[in-house]
Amino acid sequence: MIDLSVDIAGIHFKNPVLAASGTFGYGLEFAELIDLNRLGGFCTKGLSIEPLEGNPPPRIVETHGGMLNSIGLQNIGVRAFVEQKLPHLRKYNTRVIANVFGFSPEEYVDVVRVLNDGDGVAAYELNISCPNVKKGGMEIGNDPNEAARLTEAVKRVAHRPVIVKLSPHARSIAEVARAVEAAGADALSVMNTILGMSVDIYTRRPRLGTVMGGLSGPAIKPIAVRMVFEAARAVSIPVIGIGGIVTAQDALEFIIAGASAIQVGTANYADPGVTIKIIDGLTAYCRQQNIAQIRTLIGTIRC
Amino acid sequence: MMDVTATVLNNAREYGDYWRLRVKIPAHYAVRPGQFAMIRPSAQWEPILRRAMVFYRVEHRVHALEAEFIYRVMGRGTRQLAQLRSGDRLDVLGPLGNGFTIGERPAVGRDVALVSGGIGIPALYLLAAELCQRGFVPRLFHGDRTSDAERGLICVDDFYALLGRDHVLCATEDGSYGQRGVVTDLLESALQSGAWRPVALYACGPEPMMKRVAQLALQFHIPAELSLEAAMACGFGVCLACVQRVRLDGRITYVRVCCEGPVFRAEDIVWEEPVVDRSPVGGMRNGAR
Ligand SMILES: Cc1cc2nc3c(=O)[nH]c(=O)nc-3n(C[C@H](O)[C@H](O)[C@H](O)COP(=O)(O)OP(=O)(O)OC[C@H]3O[C@@H](n4cnc5c(N)ncnc54)[C@H](O)[C@@H]3O)c2cc1C
Ligand SMILES: Cc1cc2nc3c(=O)[nH]c(=O)nc-3n(C[C@H](O)[C@H](O)[C@H](O)COP(=O)(O)O)c2cc1C
Ligand code: FES
Repeated sequence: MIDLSVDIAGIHFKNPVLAASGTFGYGLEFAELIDLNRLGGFCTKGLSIEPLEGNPPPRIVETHGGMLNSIGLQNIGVRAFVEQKLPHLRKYNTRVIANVFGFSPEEYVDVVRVLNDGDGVAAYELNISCPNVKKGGMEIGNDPNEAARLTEAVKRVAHRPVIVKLSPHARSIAEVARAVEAAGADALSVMNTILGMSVDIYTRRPRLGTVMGGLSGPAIKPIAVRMVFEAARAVSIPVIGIGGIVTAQDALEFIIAGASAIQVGTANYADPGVTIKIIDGLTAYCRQQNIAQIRTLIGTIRC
Repeated sequence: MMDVTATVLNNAREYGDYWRLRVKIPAHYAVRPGQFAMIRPSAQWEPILRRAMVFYRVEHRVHALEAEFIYRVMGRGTRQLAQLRSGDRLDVLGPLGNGFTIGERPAVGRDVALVSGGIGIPALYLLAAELCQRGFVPRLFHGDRTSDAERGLICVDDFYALLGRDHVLCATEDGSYGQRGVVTDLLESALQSGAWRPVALYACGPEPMMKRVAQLALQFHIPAELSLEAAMACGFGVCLACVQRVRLDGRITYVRVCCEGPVFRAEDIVWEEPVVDRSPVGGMRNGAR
């Protein structure tokens, strides 16, 4: 029997494969397509204190090896999530990570307070790296001091472990990672999308309603692996690797580079069953490589 | 909704950029007129997104569905679809979306208007068939830029067989088939004649056509349903890419074209500002479909 389980911030995950925020809805949408019980866990769409309408369309553009998005954190609001979605999610044996967003540090704290009362949430993931909103988001994530202040504020009220999701746009990912660790973060998610742009040459307009948007998908994977490697070296808390993962091989690159778990984002759109295939692929790799416990593989890169 | 690996039975060019893809889906589900699937060649990650295709025709077999899709080769995804050969595998996620609604047949009047432009026409075949079955008399108005000397207009032969030749009216911008001009002019003169009063109108086509159809439906007090398009990443409600502004419960809000649509009541749609598109083939905004 190969043991795929990992422990992050005191939480036991049956395997290191999670679905990334914004690509998995509120989880329930996938119940018809895959066995949610097999997943290590998933992150909800970013939750804000009030429902958000999101950005004007077009909100996505396909690119080579990926896509740009400017969804703008459209969501039903944290209270609706706790009241309407969470009760149904409790039926499943998987870890639910609530992705948290605010336009100010106070709003992050407010969202977390509401979530504290929600039964069935395993951890909080603070999105301080969204490129698609003017205030909050990336502004906080790019500044080690602001990121630390926010982490501290949330840690003071949070009843559950706090994972901080970092931006690839910080001047130094290691610096932000260390600042957030010192402020009490229990784990890091690395990384969010990279700001990009695409132009329609016939209308001479940007292809996205908001001009710029976040790049995701296989195109960003090498950057994400590097960021995970740097972050994992800088801190002693666990790092969750995200960016362009489509296969078990992709996931393994992150794990070897230092990730204790991984998240699958954009690939869920093209193949709703991709997370299950990655889990099976990890088992196959471990069997072939005589690895009894996948956790022994974490950060074993030789360099 | 389910995601299954289908097998290509046949994939061939009709004429020009139009192709017909016939697949065997090893599953059983009901498809409502106007519902669609998200498809890609199996395990193909480039381009990263599946393409939305409306179910054109569906036949139920013993252990499978046989479905037909009609597509226009435009960009990377549809070019790749055109590479598929018989026996190749295809991932098909469906059925998706709400589909058209067919009301009770009123005491008087059973005429129905179907309006399509270009690659919008496949959205209306299952609908036309079901309308016929329920005792309505649909009349199709279809327009395209040009036609093929041999094959005429895409799908139109199938509609002739279903509805009868006198219930299919065509227009081409270059006058090579049917009347010269745009399909909405055909529709308008039919409505203005007064002799024909449809009890419902259904449409799928490029945005300028759809806007005009919506105006005409309003002007002639005909309840209308329009099938819209939007750039989609997932097709089943999780990415929130595909939003459309609609009137809902007295306010204006975004809803998902893939779940709450793609079919909307004409009066609920809030049209965005038009974008002038000078593309040689026509991009999304001026109507790939
Ligand atoms: C509900 C629905 C049903 C559809 N049914 C059909 C059909 O039956 N036959 C058919 O030929 N086409 C249909 N389309 C359009 C189709 O999904 C493709 O988007 C279109 O053919 C362009 O893909 P491409 O690979 O050729 O272009 P690319 O330029 O490579 O497309 C790039 C990206 O933009 C998106 N995109 C481009 N044009 C459109 C468009 N007009 N509408 C929506 N997204 C677009 C693509 O999906 C893709 O994500 C439908 C779209 C929707 C939303
Ligand atoms: C359409 C879309 C919406 C997203 N929404 C969120 C979000 O609400 N919160 C968040 O933290 N990340 C969000 N992300 C970022 C992803 O969780 C992930 O970090 C990123 O897409 C990189 O991973 P990938 O290449 O596997 O997609 C979103 C990504 C996409 C493509
Ligand atoms: S296409 Fe993803 S929500 Fe509609």
